[in-house]
Amino acid sequence: MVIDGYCTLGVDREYDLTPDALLSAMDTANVDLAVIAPTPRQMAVHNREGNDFVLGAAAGHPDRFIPACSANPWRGREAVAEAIEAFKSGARLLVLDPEVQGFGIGTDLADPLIEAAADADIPVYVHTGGYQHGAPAQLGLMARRFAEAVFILGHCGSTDFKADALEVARLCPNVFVETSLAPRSRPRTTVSPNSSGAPPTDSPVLVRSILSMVTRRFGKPSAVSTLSE
Amino acid sequence: MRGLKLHPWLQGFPALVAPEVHDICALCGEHGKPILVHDGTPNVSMPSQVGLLAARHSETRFILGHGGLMHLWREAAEVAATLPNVYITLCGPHPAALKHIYRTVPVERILWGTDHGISFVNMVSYRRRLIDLLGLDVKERRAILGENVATLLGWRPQSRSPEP
Repeated sequence: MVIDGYCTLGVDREYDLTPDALLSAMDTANVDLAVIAPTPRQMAVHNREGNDFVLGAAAGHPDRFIPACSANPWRGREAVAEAIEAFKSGARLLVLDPEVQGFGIGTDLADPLIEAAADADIPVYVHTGGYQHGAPAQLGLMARRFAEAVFILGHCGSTDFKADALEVARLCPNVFVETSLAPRSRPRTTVSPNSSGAPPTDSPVLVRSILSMVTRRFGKPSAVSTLSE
Repeated sequence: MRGLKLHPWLQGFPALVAPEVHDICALCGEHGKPILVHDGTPNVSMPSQVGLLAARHSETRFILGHGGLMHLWREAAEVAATLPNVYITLCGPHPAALKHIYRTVPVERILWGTDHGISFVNMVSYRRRLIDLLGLDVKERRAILGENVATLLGWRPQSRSPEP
């Protein structure tokens, strides 16, 4: 099984991806499933709109799409309620984007959302790479603070935090790295398999392994379970 | 030589966790010399990045030179509060941030510094007045204003005692 670990679904500004277009691209590349997430505008402001859109798309293609939700930490308790509602409606991942949502992952602003995700056994995908708010080392602090939560270090700290991303993954067994924007150069150091069984971060199968980890830990969508591994 | 100063931002390190830096950290740990790291400026001098180093080199003591400056003081406080080999300098953040650091970091790992020389302003008097805003008791004042850094650097004051 091949799973695309992160896609942004929607048409807004620089994003132009409809469900049909994504399915076509997946078929061309022999990709079985894809994680779909809201657009930046929806993650920053229109959380409910984005989550409903993604959940609706996934409901229409339960054997192809895995929905990821988002909520802006600045909304406080409203954000937690929004995330919990999305989890109950089928979201399998919480996505946070510090640069888009305007908060530092080195602060405690998102802590209530992390707690809610951990309580629901939902992994947290965090976009990294932004200088002020999106550094992998900042995510490392959060991961150490929430040892019971599972984090996916989005984009491997690209462009300028590759070394930090690897160090964080090495130090934190609850952090997985996602390689969609990672530089093509082979890292100078590798990360040993951690307690969750993730392969080294220079492994070409990492993107697939992330969702394998997610499905192993939290179960597959019902339609997915009929597909062969 | 009592310690080492690293300034990744000015000295142009590609990454604080570069292999060469690990060698330096290990060497300083072997010799018991603390490393003062400029912090507070992305993308190579962030307190959380110093935390990565400190987590790997637990035998080496690190000093956050600026407590995260004006925007990264929360993570600076968290790094100093959670890693016993990290010290933090009250030299950069605003008064409310200084209070947050004082409330969250053990007093024995809080240092005072002025960064005097960086401008034409008398930074010594300015930074000294900021400390007065923290409401420290006598013991805490002695520790933060001198005893902590003297202990860290193995320095025995000869002509003057720390200010009471």
